Amino acid sequence: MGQLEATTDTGDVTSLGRPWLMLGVVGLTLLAALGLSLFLPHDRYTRYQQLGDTLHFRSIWAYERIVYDPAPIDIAILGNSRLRAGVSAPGMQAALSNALGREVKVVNLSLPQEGRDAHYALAKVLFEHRPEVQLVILSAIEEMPRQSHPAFGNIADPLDALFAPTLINPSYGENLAFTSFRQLSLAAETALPGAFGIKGFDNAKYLGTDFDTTTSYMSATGNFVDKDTIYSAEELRGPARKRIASITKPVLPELFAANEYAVEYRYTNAIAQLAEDRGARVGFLYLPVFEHQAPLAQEAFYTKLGPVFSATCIADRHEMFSDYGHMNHQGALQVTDYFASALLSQRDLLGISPSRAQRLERAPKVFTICP
Amino acid sequence: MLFNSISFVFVFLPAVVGGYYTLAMSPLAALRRPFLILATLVFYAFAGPSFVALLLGSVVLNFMVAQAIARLSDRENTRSLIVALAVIANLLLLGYFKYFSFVLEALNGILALEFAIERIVLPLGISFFTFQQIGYLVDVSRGRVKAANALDYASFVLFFPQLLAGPIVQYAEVIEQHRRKPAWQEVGRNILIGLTIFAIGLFKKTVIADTLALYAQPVFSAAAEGEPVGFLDTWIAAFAYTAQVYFDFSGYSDMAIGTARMLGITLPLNFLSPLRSSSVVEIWRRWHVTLGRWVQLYLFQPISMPFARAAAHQGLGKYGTLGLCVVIPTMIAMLVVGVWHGAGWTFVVFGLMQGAYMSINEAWAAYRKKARKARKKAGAGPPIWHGPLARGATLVAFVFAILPFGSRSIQALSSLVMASLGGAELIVTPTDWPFGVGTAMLCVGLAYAVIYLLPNSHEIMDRFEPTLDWSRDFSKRAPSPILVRWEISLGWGIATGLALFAGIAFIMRGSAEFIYFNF
Repeated sequence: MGQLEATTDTGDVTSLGRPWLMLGVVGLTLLAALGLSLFLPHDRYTRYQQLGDTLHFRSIWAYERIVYDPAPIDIAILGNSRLRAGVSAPGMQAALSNALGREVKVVNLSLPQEGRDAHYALAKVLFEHRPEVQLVILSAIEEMPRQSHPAFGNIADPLDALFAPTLINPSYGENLAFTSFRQLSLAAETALPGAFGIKGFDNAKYLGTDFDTTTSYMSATGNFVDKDTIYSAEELRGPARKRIASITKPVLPELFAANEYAVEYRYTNAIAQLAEDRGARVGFLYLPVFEHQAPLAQEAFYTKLGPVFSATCIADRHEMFSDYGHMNHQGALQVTDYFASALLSQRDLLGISPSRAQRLERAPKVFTICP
Repeated sequence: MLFNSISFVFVFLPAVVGGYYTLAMSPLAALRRPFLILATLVFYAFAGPSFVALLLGSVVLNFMVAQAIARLSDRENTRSLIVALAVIANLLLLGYFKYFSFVLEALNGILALEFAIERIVLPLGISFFTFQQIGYLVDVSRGRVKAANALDYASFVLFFPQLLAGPIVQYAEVIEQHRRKPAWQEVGRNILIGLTIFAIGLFKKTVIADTLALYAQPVFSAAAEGEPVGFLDTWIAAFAYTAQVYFDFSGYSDMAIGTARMLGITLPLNFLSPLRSSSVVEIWRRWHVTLGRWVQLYLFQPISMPFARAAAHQGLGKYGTLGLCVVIPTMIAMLVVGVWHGAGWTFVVFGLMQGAYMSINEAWAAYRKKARKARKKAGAGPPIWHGPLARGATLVAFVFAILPFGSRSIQALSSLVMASLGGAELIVTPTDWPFGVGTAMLCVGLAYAVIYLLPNSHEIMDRFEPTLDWSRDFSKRAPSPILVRWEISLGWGIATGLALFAGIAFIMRGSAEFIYFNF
């Protein structure tokens, strides 16, 4: 191998500068390898298939629905597990189609857990393939989440992982390092799909255009997730209080909110921008924790981007909850009806999108979805 | 905090190395050692914050005992009593966390008792810092070292590179290094050499060991769950697990040695290509060298001495002496080594198997002693087939003994042993083996090619005295057929960067914890 400088037979380092120069070479090589790995080509569908045995296994269906299913998408629900369990896309589709006298196609692409960056990754795919989308409904919760979504490293485009917020984003390093490994792995799997057991889209296994995310199901690990049992208030109260107690209030002054909630701010704005660029709109749906009626803590941030639909009015209705903060199937059907009615009262959301300036002028408000 | 974590590689390590040298080169140089001790406590707190107090308590009590022993230098009996009590106290502490549940479970099983068994969480590194401190107490009582002052003692024990899984160092071999203020001229060199050793270790752990785990674990898990295992898959898994443990521990040792070196401390050798050995006795001299040294110094010798005296007194013959002076102490020592690795009957079996191997090894050596001498006298070397046969037999014996080491229960072990002896179908390929049996064999074959053909990390870093006494005692001990020596060059800089990249990238495959962290 080429010598940096002539060395002694023992390879001993006598010059002060040489070890530092060598450390620079090691560091640059590491950076170059990390950088190059980000550009390794691979099939995006393979990327989503990596989530097949995780909590996020239904994101494979989400990708298939967006990319492989020719049925249009007019409204996309894209949020956390509360939205996933709380809004029945087929139910909402039926309610809106009936009311408007035309078919309105609704999909619920939500993922379990919090983290707006993963919603952004899916929104990119959505807007890339679906110019017809008119409205994207995002989740909002009582206190804005700070964290990156655990699946972001799996589904993000490599450069999105690289240029993610670095300040107050503890997952930045892990996501970037994971992306490097993922790129190596995906490049190999894309090159040799048969060897890795990777399969292309199989219509026979596809869950269908109108898949409902609010019914009971078997998880990827084989656990039955029950969405039909009705629980008493007493059964729900303990876990709900525990959940509320675990919420961390803002730590930094409001002036630094965009830093404290860097992931949420960055990617919510980015999704709104994507939507605006394609003539679509965004809105937010807030489904509360059981017996927690508090309004959204950072409501003003969301209302600048789109209307906020709040369901705090259902917080006391134990018969609608399957656990501390998720609807059971019957609860989801009711929320879906309420939400469809609320959307119908804001018809501009379902029609031609006004410009951003007009939208800001009209200053969208917070709407309660309960009748 | 794990060495094979992003937060360690990109946050903790740079911050500690940077902070240490910044202090060392400033007027606050005296604070560099307290800084390292504090960093060690932070490092430990990440692993288990609830046990920081236990660690500190253990350090303070052993320090005070050592002070007391030193003050009693002219009262041998009292000193011996204090040492004995301190050793017992240390072992009781270790025993409580490590063996209490197992003992209760065994009593329940054997005597049909009904003790309630609660799961006791094992404080990380307790086996290591307990053994290291016991060794120190014995050394102080024997006058090998003087009792340390508080800062020296804390530096000796609370040094994060070797706190969790060794090497088990001796006070005398590291303390001067801790005391010495690093010279600016050495900083870049130490960081470079340390980082290179660390990169090799990380690569071994995340790329090689964790890949082998994909082939070993499904079979051991299947056996644990009572599912059928086949003859071929059991042997593939046994070879894979042996290599996994090998690269896991040698990778860990490299990372510990490399991290310490970045801070200017050269640690003792801990792993010297043991699977290239031609006997099980030799394997244990080269596998976990510092534990072997500890066992030899503080366990085997104290046990074998009285036996040797008794043998001499009784006038026992060759084999009687061998039995009393070698076999019994070896069986006891290896039983301790076995259960040191874990509380369970499988580890007892593992220790006894290793003890039996070593005893047979020693007996064979004694039996062949005359023939060996005669051949030597005649100027003839061993027959050409001797070396490969000895290495092959040693490997197969060692791999067979890995079955209890990896088994989760005696039932699982018996199923694996039966399968390995042919009492099962030829192959029941686990469904979660990536790419099937052919790739499994290829991966395992590649791992053994690396073990037998390529130089180990210390040989690669031969020019830079990677461990204590490397050039004096070890560099010629286990030469690899292929010689590769790292040097200061552009090519090696790039190679090091690539190894580091692969090691870091593969962390995110979802690397398992180091196997030795469980001990």
